[in-house]
Amino acid sequence: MPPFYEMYTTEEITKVYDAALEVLDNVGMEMTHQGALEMLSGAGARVDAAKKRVYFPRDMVEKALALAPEEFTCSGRTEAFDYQAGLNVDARIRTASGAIDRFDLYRDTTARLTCADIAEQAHISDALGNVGCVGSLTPSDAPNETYDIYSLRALIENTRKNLWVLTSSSVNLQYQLKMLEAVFGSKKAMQEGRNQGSGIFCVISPLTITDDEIERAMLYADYGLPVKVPITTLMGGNAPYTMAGILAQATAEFMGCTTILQTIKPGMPVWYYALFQSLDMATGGVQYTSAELQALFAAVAQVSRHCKTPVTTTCTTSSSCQAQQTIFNLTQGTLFNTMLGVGEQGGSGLDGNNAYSPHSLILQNEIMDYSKRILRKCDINHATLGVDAIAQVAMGKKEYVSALHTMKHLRTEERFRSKLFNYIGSKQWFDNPTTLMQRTDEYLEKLKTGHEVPPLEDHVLKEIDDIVKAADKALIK
Amino acid sequence: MRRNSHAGKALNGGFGAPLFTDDELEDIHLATLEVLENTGVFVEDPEAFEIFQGAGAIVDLDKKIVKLPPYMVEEAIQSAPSKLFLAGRDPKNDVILESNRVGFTTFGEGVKVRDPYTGELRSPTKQDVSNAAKLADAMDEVDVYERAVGAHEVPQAVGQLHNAEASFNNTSKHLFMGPFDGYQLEKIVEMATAISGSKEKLLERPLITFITCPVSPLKLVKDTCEVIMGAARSGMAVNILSMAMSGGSSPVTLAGTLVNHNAEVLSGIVLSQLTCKGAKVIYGSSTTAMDLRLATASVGSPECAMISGAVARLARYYALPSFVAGG
Repeated sequence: MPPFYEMYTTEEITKVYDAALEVLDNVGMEMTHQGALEMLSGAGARVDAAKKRVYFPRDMVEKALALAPEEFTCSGRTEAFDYQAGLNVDARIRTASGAIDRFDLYRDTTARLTCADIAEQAHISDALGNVGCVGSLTPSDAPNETYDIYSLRALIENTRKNLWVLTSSSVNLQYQLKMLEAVFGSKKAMQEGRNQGSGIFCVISPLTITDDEIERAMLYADYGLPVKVPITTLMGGNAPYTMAGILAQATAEFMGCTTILQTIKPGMPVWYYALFQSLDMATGGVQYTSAELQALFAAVAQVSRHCKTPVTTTCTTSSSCQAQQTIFNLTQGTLFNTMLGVGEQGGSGLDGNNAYSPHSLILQNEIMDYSKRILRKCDINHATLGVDAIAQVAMGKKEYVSALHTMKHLRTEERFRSKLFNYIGSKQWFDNPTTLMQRTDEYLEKLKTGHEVPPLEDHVLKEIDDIVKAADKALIK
Repeated sequence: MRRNSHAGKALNGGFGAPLFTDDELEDIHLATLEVLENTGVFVEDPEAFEIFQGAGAIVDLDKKIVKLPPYMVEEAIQSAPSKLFLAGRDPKNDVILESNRVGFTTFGEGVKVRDPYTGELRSPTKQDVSNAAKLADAMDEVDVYERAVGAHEVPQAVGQLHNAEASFNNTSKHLFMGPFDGYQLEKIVEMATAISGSKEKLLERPLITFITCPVSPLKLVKDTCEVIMGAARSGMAVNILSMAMSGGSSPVTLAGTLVNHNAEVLSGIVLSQLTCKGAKVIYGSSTTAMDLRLATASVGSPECAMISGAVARLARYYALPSFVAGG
């Protein structure tokens, strides 16, 4: 198990946990979906129809948390592209989701996203080893009513990685799930775990669940997709200003959502997704990256371990198209989240997740490789301590380059080789100066032209196309 | 409902990644003792050699090798203080180094400077030394100032005296610098004494910490010995900072590099404590991996980060203040 940081004491985490349970028991959540209310009532919740609120007793919530699996597989198109979600897993990136713009951090340009850009994100994600899940983006060249269906098509056709199936409505979701069914042959196959997808269940802070959210959850459950529960609280906006207060509300929202999802389908895999933001009280702006948010993510990582559910956080930045600040925020966020033991981190999103950047994605992949190397530590044993080698060299040739000990351990202790960072001397650099962003751009081009994603079979592509056309026909006014 | 007061509350003051277990640290320590006892270190300075010999180390006069018995090493670790008070000219800049408190410093000594106005890469001047000190003085999060560059246009035999002058005049923070040799160390102590007003006042409020580096593998060269002994006698702290390169001047295995590094620093600490028991030391590191393709020291690599983390952990194991390479 890799080492990870823990900032808070058990007592502090227990306080957050208990406060969340208190909120669910005494404050409850606002819900109006009749079917869900009946299910929850039958499972032990107290429903107050007049106030449109449902209250969750402590034991009901704790039973639900116990039902949610601690670890599960997120499937790719094939098993080779599966990854594990859990508490002690190899960290993965989930790419930007929902963005509307594409930033070119090398050329300092921006443009509205198209389906071709979504295909680009999918394609390069397929090549990047640390990407586990590819998020849906918002294309400007698709009909408003069916953009999410077009987005998913671009993903399905261009990557074998797991896909975050974001949707604008339960109606659209039905078409999206049909597309995945076309890939895997049957709904049954998807229910058995081969579905290449994960879903989303959103709460509107504070503590409100819409009817359509329930409808979507039922669809995800029916098709066997695990579901991320993003808590998009805004500190000082729709959540308490105090950091502990946001933890209490956010954790209550996560636990409440988990209880709802486990009632809909016991054993449904879920993530606690900390997508907190901070309201800048000076400007009214929303910050996705701040020291306070990082401290909160550390708490969420520990709360998730306490609840025994996987956690995911975000490395989305609020640095618009500023390359240098983006690199700083991305490095700090990725390194820190990896060291917190967060199994899945959102990334490549800029400008408060309004923009996607392929350069940012590639950089984050590299930074995660770097971070993982640190966490692999070094082996400490008699051979590697090298006391005999030290004796020979220190009293002999005084250099280790040609020592037998070096030859013997050169491969087992191979150094991290970065694709993007270099450590050449300044004179060599000035002879051929390149910047990090330039090298990243070159690597992007290499992936775009050199990496191949095996195409889906023709009949599958046709079926997907037919589904998109049917959606357009039914949904576009 | 009411919430009563706690009867007592344990608070978390920070966080740390558990890089090594206590058993792993002990393995490194024991391997280090074995190296110091059986392989020993090369000691170039005759006076230092005599100090080791007089204290009971096993010596080889012809090869200038000193072998340190384990008790000598462990006694030195014990007698070196765990807590250091570093004074600035302005008391608001005073700093305490202890336990796992984390602070930041500039690093040196750069041999080139990128001119901030022209972009030209050139040799640094005394004005650059002054400017760097002034910039560090203005940075809230920089706790102490290590002279970032050295003046290249001055006579190098007394170059550190010029650097000290430029630094003392432009920052009111505590100063870290390598004096190069015993002569310059003495002169810099005189400067600091003049600033403080007297030797006693300087001892009370030490304005400077000296830095010196063993030469890997396992050498305490003349200058290093002079600085360690001079610092001990003057009452100023010395940062004994090894700069091993894994695969080049230390074993390619990171564990072996930690042993080599540890042996070098601890041998310096022994000299310090034998010179003056209770002398102030810092356990320092700029050890990193050598890039075996480019033959460069890759500072900023993940291996450097791991080694720095390991060194900090080792220093805590010994209850000594630490100083590690950042980026």
